[in-house]
Formats: sequence, C-alpha cells, structure tokens
Amino acid sequence: MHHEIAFIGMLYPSLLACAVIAALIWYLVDTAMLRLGLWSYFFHPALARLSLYVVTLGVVAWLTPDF
Amino acid sequence: MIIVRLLLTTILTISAIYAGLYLWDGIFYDPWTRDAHVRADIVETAPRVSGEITEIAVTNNQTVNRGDILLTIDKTDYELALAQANASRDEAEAQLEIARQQSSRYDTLKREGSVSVSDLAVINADLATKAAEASLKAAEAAMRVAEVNLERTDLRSPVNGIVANLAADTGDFASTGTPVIALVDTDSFRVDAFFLETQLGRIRHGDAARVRFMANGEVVEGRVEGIAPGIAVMEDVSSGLLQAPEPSFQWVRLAQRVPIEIKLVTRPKGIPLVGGATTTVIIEPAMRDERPLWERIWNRDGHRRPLSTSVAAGATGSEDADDSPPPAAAKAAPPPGAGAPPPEPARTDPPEPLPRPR
Repeated sequence: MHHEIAFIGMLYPSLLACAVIAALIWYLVDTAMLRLGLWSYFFHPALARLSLYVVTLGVVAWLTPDF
Repeated sequence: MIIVRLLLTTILTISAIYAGLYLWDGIFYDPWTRDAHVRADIVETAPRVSGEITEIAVTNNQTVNRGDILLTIDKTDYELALAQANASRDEAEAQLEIARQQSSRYDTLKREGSVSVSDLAVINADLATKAAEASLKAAEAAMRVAEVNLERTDLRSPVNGIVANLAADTGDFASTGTPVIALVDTDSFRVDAFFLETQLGRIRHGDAARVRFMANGEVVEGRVEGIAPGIAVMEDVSSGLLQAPEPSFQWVRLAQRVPIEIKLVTRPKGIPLVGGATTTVIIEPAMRDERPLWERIWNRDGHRRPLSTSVAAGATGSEDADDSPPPAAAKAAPPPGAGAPPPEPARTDPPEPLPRPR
C-alpha cells in the first residue's frame, strides 16, 4: 500500500492501482455470483456487494508489498 | 434461511468495516509520506576582499575539497598595499633606531656629567623611543593585515562540496561579503520528509527509515534524526500585534505537515544525490504494534509509546504512555472512529491488568 506507481509521467499512490485491481477482481467475482444466484443468500445484496468490494480492496492493499 | 442470509451479510459487512479501517490506518496513520525531498546545506561563498576576478579555478558542477581555491581576485592592489606596509614598517624601524640612538646618547652624556643635557630631554628621548616602538608594532600589524588581505585574494572552499550554478566569470567585480559561488555541501545530504501530524505519534527519534528515490526507485536506509519543533500556521495570518485567525475556518480542515529530518545511513549507488530530489519515506517504528488486527482497530491509541526525547508534545494531542494491553474497561470505549477514548479510572491500573472477563 505504501508505494507509488507511475502512469504516463504522473505518479500516483499505489492505492489507486490497488483500487483498479480490486475492481477487476470484484467484477469477476460479482459476475460469477450473479450468474450462480449466490447473492440471494444475502439479506441485503447491494450492501453485501459493496462490502465485497471493500474487502477485496483491503486484501489487495494488504498483499501489495511496500518498497 | 433468513438466519443464514443475515449471518452472511453481517460477516461480510463487518469484514468490510475492518478492511476499510485497515486501509484508512495505512494511509493516514502509518508513518509514511510521498512528500519528502533531499536537502543539503548551500554554502554561499563570498570573498573577504574586493576586486576584479582574474581567474576562476573551478568549473560548474565541479567537486571541490575544503581548502581548494575557487577563484582569484586581482592581486595588484593588495601586492602594492603589502609593499607599502613593508615600507612603512621599515620606516618605523628606522624611526625607532633614531629614537634609540638619541636616547642612548643623552643617557651617556648624562652619565658623564654633562650639564648641557637636562633631565627633561632625557625623559623626552625615552618617551620618543617608546612611541617609536609602538609605531613599529602598528606598522607590523598593518603589514600582517596587508599579507592576510593578499592571501584572501584566493577564495578557498570552506567545505567539501560541488560548485552549483556557477555564474561568476573572469572580469566580474567581486565585492567583500557578496556571495559569488554557491557550493552544495556534499557532507550534509539528508532527507526532509513532511509527515501528517496524525502520523507523528508513531515516529520517534532514532527510528529506522527507508527512503525510496523517485529517480530510479532505489531504496536506501535512513534514520530519524529530528522532528521539527515548529511550523508556520496557515490559519494565522496576523501581521501586527494582534492575532488574526482565519474567519472562514469552520468545518473542513487538513492535518498540518511536520518536517522530519532523516539521516541517510547509506548513499544511493545508481544516482547522484541531488538537493531537492523527490523521495518517498517509510518509517519503521522501533516498537511494532503486535496486537491482533481487531484489537488494533478497536483501540487505536493503545500502542503509543512515550516520547523518549525532549521533543515537545505539540500536535500529536494525547500523549498517554500506554504500552500495556488495553485494560478491560477499555472494552467499553467508543467505536474506533471517535478518536481517543476518554480518560477512565482503569487507565491508572498497574501495567499488568487482571485477566479480562470473557
């Protein structure tokens, strides 16, 4: 999480990259769960989907190494 | 079925809250900053004597050692001044010799009983000798001054450093005390890191630090050498005797940034150190927070260490020395978003609290 990435000449905190990666992972998982109808096992699917994204972001940020 | 649905949602939501707090802590509380720069002392060397520059012995960006000649100022005037001072000294010497001879002649005559020499004349001759001695000393001092001035026409480097932005040229007139050459003191390279004041609680003098240079991504070791004792407050725009707080300040505010000086233990190998270069700094607190994540999130002030140095407790707010596990009563503390828990009687407990009730 405590890193920096360069993209077209500008430097961003690596959390931004984590957010993008987490969004991709979340999209895949979310699509799969929608297809399989697994969100129906949740009381509040919208809240659960948002929570899933935040958890994914936390895990990705945790796995991203510091320099 | 409804139980399962509620349970799953609750677990996922609580996990999300923890993940969010973890991210928040990582960005705003962990001691790291992208706002750090290499810094060095800039020595503005100025000649001690005035004159036209006849020779510049260095080129731009040249490395110089302490005592190396940087430039030479026209010596003519100072050589002439030295010659004049020499002559003055010779003259003073001669005057002293004359006065001594006069004095000794009077002394001899007086001893031989001559009546043509009065006591007054003898005393006057003695005094004239003393005056001539003093004149000689003054002339010698003046000669020394002339010598030193002549030596000072060679401007020498006061530090080990690198010539920066050399603008002086042969033929320029250099005035006494006006800087002509800037040197970057290469012995003084360090990193100035601006940390949010919310991160200060986890930074202590002597903590190890990692410095990453934007130039090539190289990471070098550093150490916290000092915490700035003061910064200018942007909200205070007073210029007169009375304070003038910013009236527009009501809801939104940002944490100040406090400069932390980081000594470079090793130097980067792949790039030269450049004053002003951008770096990223992570400080590794000497005392790690070993509590489990849920406890860290629950009691966010629990790990704070007492200030070991004399740095004043300023912006960090509560400086409670509380390294022990949070006492049982802290379980009743407000949720983590509410900041520091209010003081409670349990805080005065001995360091080893009783086993907490399950």
